Amino acid sequence: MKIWGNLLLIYILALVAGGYLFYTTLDHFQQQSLTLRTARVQTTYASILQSNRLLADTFFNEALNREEILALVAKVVHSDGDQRRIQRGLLYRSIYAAYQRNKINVGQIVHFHFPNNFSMLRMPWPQKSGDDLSTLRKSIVLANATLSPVHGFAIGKGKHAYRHVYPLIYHGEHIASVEVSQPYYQIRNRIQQLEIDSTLQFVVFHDKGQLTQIIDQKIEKNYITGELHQNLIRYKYAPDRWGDTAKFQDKLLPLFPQLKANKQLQSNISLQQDFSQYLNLNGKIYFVIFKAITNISDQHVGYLVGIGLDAQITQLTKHMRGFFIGTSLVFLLILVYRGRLQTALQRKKENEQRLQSIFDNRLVGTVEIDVDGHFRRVNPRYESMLGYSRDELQTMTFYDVTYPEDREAKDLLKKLKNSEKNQTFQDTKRYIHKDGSFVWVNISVAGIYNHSGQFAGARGVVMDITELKQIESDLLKERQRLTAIVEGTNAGTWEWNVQTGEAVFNERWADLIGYTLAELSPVSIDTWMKLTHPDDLKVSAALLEKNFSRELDYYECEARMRHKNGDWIWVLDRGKISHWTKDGKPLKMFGTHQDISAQKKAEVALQKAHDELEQRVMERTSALKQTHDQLLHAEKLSVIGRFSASISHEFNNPLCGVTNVIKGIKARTQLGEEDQELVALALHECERMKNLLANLQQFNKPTTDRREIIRVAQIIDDILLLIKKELKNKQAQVVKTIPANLPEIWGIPDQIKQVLINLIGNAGDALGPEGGTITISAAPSGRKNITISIEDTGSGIDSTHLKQIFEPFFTTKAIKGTGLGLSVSYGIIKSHGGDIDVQSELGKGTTFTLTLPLPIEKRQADDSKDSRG
Amino acid sequence: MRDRHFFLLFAFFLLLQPTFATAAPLRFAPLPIYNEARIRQDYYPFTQYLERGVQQAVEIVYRSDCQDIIAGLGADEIDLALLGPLPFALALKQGYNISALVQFLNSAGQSTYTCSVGVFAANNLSMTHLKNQQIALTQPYSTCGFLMVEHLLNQHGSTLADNQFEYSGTHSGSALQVITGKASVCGLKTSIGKSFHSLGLDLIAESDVIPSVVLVVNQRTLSPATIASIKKHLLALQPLENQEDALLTKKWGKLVRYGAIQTNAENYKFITDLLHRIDIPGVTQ
Repeated sequence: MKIWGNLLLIYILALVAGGYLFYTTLDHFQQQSLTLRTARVQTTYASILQSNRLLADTFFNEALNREEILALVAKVVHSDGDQRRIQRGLLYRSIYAAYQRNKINVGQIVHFHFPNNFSMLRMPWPQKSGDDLSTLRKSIVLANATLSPVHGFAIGKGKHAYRHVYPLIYHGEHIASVEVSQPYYQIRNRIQQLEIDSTLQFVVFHDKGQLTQIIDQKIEKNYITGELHQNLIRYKYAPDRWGDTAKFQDKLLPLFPQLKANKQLQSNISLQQDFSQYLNLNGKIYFVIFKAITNISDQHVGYLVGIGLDAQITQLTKHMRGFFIGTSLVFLLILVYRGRLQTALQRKKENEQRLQSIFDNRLVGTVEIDVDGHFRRVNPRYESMLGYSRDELQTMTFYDVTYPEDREAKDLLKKLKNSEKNQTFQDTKRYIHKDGSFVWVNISVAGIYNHSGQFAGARGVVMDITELKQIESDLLKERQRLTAIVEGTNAGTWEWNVQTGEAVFNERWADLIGYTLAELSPVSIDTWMKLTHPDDLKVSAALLEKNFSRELDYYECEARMRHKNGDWIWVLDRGKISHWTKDGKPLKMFGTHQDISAQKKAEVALQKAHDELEQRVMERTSALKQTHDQLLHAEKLSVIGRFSASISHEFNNPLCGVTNVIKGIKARTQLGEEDQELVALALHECERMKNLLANLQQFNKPTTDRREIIRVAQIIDDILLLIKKELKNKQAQVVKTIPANLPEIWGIPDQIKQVLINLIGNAGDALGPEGGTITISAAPSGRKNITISIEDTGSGIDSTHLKQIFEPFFTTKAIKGTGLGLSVSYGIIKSHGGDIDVQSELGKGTTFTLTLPLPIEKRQADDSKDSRG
Repeated sequence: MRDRHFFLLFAFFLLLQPTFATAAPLRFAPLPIYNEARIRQDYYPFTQYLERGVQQAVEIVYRSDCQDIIAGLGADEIDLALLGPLPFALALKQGYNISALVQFLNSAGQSTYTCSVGVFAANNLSMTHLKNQQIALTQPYSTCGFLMVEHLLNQHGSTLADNQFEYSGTHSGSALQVITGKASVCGLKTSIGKSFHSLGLDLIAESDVIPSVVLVVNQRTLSPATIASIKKHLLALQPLENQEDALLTKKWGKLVRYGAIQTNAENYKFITDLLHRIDIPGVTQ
C-alpha cells in the first residue's frame, strides 16, 4: 500500500510540474508570437503608409505639380462665370489620364480645393464640387493654413482615408491645395495582402464619422463607450468591394458576444494603444491584434484589428489536455486495478474452497474423468449411487459402470471429444449398481480443457432418476389407460393452465368442430373463447367462477361452438380443477367435450311440438269458451222470449178485466171534467198495454215462413213502440222519414221485423251515454226495390271490423251480444232477394241500408205502365 | 389526442396565414440601372410594400438589360416591370398584352423629363448642320440615347448618320466624354447634363417632355383585380407631401421613391410615333 501511495504522490508532483512547465512555455511562446505578430502588423502598417506617402508624393510631383496644371488651376481660381467652368472642365480633362493610371495605387480620390477650403474639383465625381470643407476636413484646413503638405488620417463625408494634402503654389501664389486620399479599406486590404499569415484577418473599427455607410449614430456611440458592436464589421451594401470583410464576418460574428464579454479585451481597447492578446473562444485559441489609428492631430480615432485562429496552439493545448487527462485515467485505473486484483485473488481462493465443499456435499453425483474415461474425482453421492467406494472407482472407467447397451449409444465422452470447445451434452442412461441392479441416471457433461485449450477430460453431474423412471412408467401406463377410456367415450379432452392461459386439446376436441389440431395451432384458451358462442361464454364464465371459488366441485356447461362449416354445434363441457396455486388460485384444469348436438336438436324439436300443442289447446279452449258463452246467452234470450210471451198472455186477461171495469165506471158514473180526463187516460194506457202485449206475443211467435204483403211503415211503427222505452233510456232521438206512398214489399213479416229490430237496436247501442239521433228512412229505389236506411250518430265501426260484422259470432259487445244478429239479418235479407250494405265512419256514425225487392205483380204493373206510357 | 390537437392548431394557424404565403409570387423586373446587388437592395422594400398591399408574394427578377425585360414580358416570365419610355414603346410595338399602370415622379415632383444634346462650352458648336462630329450616346435602350439625339438632330437638318457615335453606358459617362475631349457632342438626360454645367458642358438642344419611367403590367399573367390593387396602393402614397409616406419610401430606389401618378399608353405616343420613323441600330433594325 505504501508503494502505491508513494507512486501516486510522485505522479501528482510530476503532473503539476509538467503542467506548470507546459503552460509557462506556452505562455512564453504566445507572448513571443504576439510580439512578433504585432511587430509585423505595425511594420506592415507603417510601411504601407510610408509607401503610400511616397507614391502620393510622386504622383503629386509628377502629375499635378506641373506648370500647365498649375496654370489651369490658376485660371479656375482667377476666372468666373462661363470662363471658370470651362477652365474647370479643361483642368479635369488635363489630369484625367494621370488619375486613371494612378488611382488604384495612389488613392481613389484626387480633390482640388480653393484656398478658402471650398471644393474646386473632385475626381471621380467632378459634378459634386463646391462644398465648404472647413469644418469637416481638418487636413485641408491645416494645409491651407500652413501651406505645408499634411499627411494623416482624416475623416470625410463618405470615406475615411489616409490623406495627403499638398498646397499648390503658382508663381508664388497659393492658388489651391490638392488632396490625394487612400480610403482605409484599401489600406486594410493591402495589409491583408502583405501579411504572410493567411489566418489573420483584418477589419477596421472606427469611432467617428462613417467608416462604412452602416455605422450609424447608435453604433458609433457604442464604440465610444468602449463596446464592440458586431455591426461594425458588417458591410452588406457592397460585398464585392469589401470581399474579405464579408467572408471574415461569417467567422467573427458568432464570436462577438464573447469578445464583448472579455474584460481584458475591453480594458485594452480603452487604452487606445496598440495591443495584442490571446483569446479562448469556444475552446479555440485566437489571437487579436489592435493597431491604433490616429488622425492628423494624433487623436485616437479607432483600430485596425487583426484576428485569427492560432491552429497550432489550439491543437497543442488540446493535445496537452488530452495527455493530462489520459495519464490521470491510466493512473487511476492502475489504482483501481490494484485493489481489484487483490480482491480477485482472495475470491478465487474462497471460490475453490466453496466449490470443493459443494462438490463433496452435492445431492447429485459429481464426477470427473480423463480422456479415456478413468475416474479422477467423484463425490460421495456418486459413490453411494453406484455402491462403489472412491478408491474402487479410481481403478475403473465409467464404461465399466455403464449398462452395456448404453455404452456405445450414449457415449457422451466421445461426443465431447468430437465437438467444439465448451459444448455440453445431456442424456439419460443406465448404470449398473455394484449389486447388479439398474440405476437410471440423468447425466450432464462438459469438457475439461488444459491451458493450451486441448481436451483433457469431462466433468459430469449425475442424477439418480430410477424412482422417477418408475413413476414415469406408471404414469405412462395410466395415461394409456385413460387415453383408451377417452377414446372409448369419443370425447374431446382439454387441459388448461388457468394462470397462463395455455391449453392443450386432443385431436378429437378439434375434430368435434371440424378441424384438425394442426389447423387450430397454436392453441390456447383463446381458441376456445373464439369458437364458442358469446352467450354461452358468459354462462361458462359464471360457472367457472363458481368452480374457482370452490362453490362448485365440478364445472359443467352446455355450450355452442362454431363448426368449421359455419354451423353451431352443442358440446357438453365438463371439467375439474386438478391443481391449485399456493395462494389458493386455480392452476390446472382438465376436462372433456362431448358432442350433444343431436340430443339438443331432439330437445328443441320436442319443445317446439309441445309449444305448438299448448298453443292449439289454448286457442281451442278459447273458441269453445266463446261458443259456450254465446250459446248460453242465446239460450237465455230464448228463455226470456218464451217467458215474455207467456207473461204477455197471462197479462192480457187481467188487462181486459181492468179495461172493462174502467169502461163500466165511465159509463155508470157521472164524473167531473178532471176525473173524466183521468179515466180516458187510464183507458188509453190500457189500450197501449194491450197493443204492447199483442206485439210481444206476435214477436215471439215462431216464424211461419209464409210470405205476404208487408207494409214497411207499419212494421217500423210497431218496432218503435216495442223498444220505445229502451231508446228513451239511451237518450236516442228517433227521426223517421217514410213517404206515405211507400210501396209494400213481399216477404216474411216476422223475419223482416227481426232484421229491423236488430238494426235499430244496434243503432241505439252504438250511441254513447250522451245519446244521439237515429234516422230511419225508406224510399223506392228504382222500379224494382225499396231501400230502408237506419242511420245513427254513434261511435261508428272500426274499418278493420267492417269486413267481419256479418260473420257469425262476431261481436264487439262482449257478453252482451251473441254475434249472431247481423249474420242472421244478412241471411234473411239475402233469402228475400235483397241486399244489406253498411257505411260507417269512426266517431261519426253508421248507416245500414237494406234493399228489398217489390212484389212481382207490382213490378209487372209498373213495367206495363211504362210500356203503355 | 395531443397529435390531433396539434394538427388542429397547426391547421388553424395555416388558415390565419395571409393567402399570398401559398400563391405564386408576383415577378417584378426593375430597370437595371445599377448592378444586381444594388438593384435588389433598392427594390426590396418596394416589393415588401406591394406584398402587403396585394396580399401576394413579390419577387425581384433581375434582368441585366432592357431587351431581356421586354423578352421576359413577351414570354410571360415577368408580371411587372419598371421601364423607361423607349423600352415600353418597344414592348408595345411587339404587340404584347401589356399596359402602363403608373408613372413615377422625380424628386421635384415632376412626371416628365427631357433629353438634351450637350457640347463643351469652349467649342462653340451649334445644332445647325452638325456633321462629322464624335457623338457620345448613353446606351441603345435609353430614350435619351440614339432615338432622341437622332430626333433632335433631324429637327436641325442633321442626322447621326452624318456623324460618328459611340455608347458610353451612362448619362454621366456621355457628359464626361465631352468634358475630357473624347467626344464633341453628347446626348443625355437634361437634369444630368445640367449637373456638369460647372465643368463647361452646355446643352444646345432639348427635346419635348417625355413621360417618366412607367410601371408596366402584363395583362396576360395578372388578374384585373391584382392590377387594380397594385395601382391603388401605389397611387395611395404621396411621399413629397406626406412625411409618413416619405419615411416609408426613404430607402426605395430613386426611380420609385417620390410617388406615382396615373398614366396610360397614350402618354407615350410621342415615343411610339418616333419609333415608326427612326430605326435604332441593333434595337429595331
